[in-house]
Amino acid sequence: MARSLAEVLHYFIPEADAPTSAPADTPRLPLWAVPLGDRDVVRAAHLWNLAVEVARLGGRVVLLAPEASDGALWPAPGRGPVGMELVLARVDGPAALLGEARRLAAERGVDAAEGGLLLLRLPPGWIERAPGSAALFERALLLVAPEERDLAAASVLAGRLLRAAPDLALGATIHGVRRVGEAARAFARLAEEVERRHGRGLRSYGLLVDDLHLYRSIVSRRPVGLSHPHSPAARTLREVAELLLEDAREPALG
Amino acid sequence: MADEGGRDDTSRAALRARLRPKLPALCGPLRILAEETLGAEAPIDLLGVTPEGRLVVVLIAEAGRELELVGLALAQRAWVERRRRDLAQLVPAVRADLPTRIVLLAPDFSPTTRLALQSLAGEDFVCARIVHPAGASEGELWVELLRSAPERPQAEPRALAEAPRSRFRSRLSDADLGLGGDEPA
Repeated sequence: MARSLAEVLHYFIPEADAPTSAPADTPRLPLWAVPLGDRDVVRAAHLWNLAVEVARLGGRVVLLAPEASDGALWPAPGRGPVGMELVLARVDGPAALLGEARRLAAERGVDAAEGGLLLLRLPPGWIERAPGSAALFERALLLVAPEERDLAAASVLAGRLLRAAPDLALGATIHGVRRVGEAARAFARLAEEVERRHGRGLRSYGLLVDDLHLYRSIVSRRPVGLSHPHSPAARTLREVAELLLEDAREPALG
Repeated sequence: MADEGGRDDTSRAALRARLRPKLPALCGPLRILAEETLGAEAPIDLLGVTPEGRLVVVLIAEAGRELELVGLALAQRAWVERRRRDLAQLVPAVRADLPTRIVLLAPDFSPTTRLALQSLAGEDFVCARIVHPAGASEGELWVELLRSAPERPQAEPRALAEAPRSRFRSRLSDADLGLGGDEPA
């Protein structure tokens, strides 16, 4: 049994000489962690298409994922459509992945005059296993379907992320909807749940509609925004990319 | 009286040790939970809890740096507020629904600092000057209360009210997307 409260507290609050985050004046791409499971093909397709849209808007964008990400069905790594960069990191755990994210965010941030961001595909099982993650998790984006079960799972995920990184700015995009109103209602339910359970607000990053073109893009590995730029899927992707870029230009406020 | 916080021969830890017994005179009984613990990228000198369950952040300024400390105090309070629920689970004496109090201790408060503090009227800031009385024994400190806690501190639950309002964002409509129907967003 601990002899004093201070001994217990220090398990939860770092000591004064604990390492802190990188200096604020270091130019680097803002990082959005996007928790995605290995078999989450649809969300992975959304994420890749989203990265392409950010690049189409002129933003410098890096999509980083562990090399072992099965089921993403993404194209080969490297510079892809309109300059979007896909990096599959050969890493064996969260510490290495986050280290790679830190390196890439700093390197690519130097030439991001028009703004940009780094999207990090984070395996959900790694959230609690990432030492020092709090310094990196400035922002997280949840891709959430409007079904009740998915909303509940997203709320649990939000709690895990906030425990790992209490200063996190948490956002959500509602995907797989057939109406704008359906997305608005789903977001409202999720935001209410996150505020009730975790005492935190939720930033909205629009919606992604359920569109056959998306599924075709998964098979063809061609981004929706280029193959069908006027489709509902492409228009919603573009808006989400705009919202992300707008917020990337502002410091995370938590 | 002479400045105390800026004296080179007094370590910060020793200063904290001498100030701890003075805190109840400023803001009532206080149970110290942690000392020199890392907050918003800077140490919090003392973190305590009042008998009613209110968390108290105590910050000590060096001579001439009290204005800087006001800004730091706001940041530290925000940092603690975000962890209040977790702390309440860890330390049952902490009430998650009570806002955090700030106690600022400094050798003096400049007119500029006092002006800044005036703009924080209504905020739960306690300010006290650290003084070393003439003729007092070596190491003896007094604290002079300059600003006390609000008489009627906000005790009502406000965690949910404080949470940033979450608003759905989209400029698109069903018509824009050719989705049919006119269901409003």
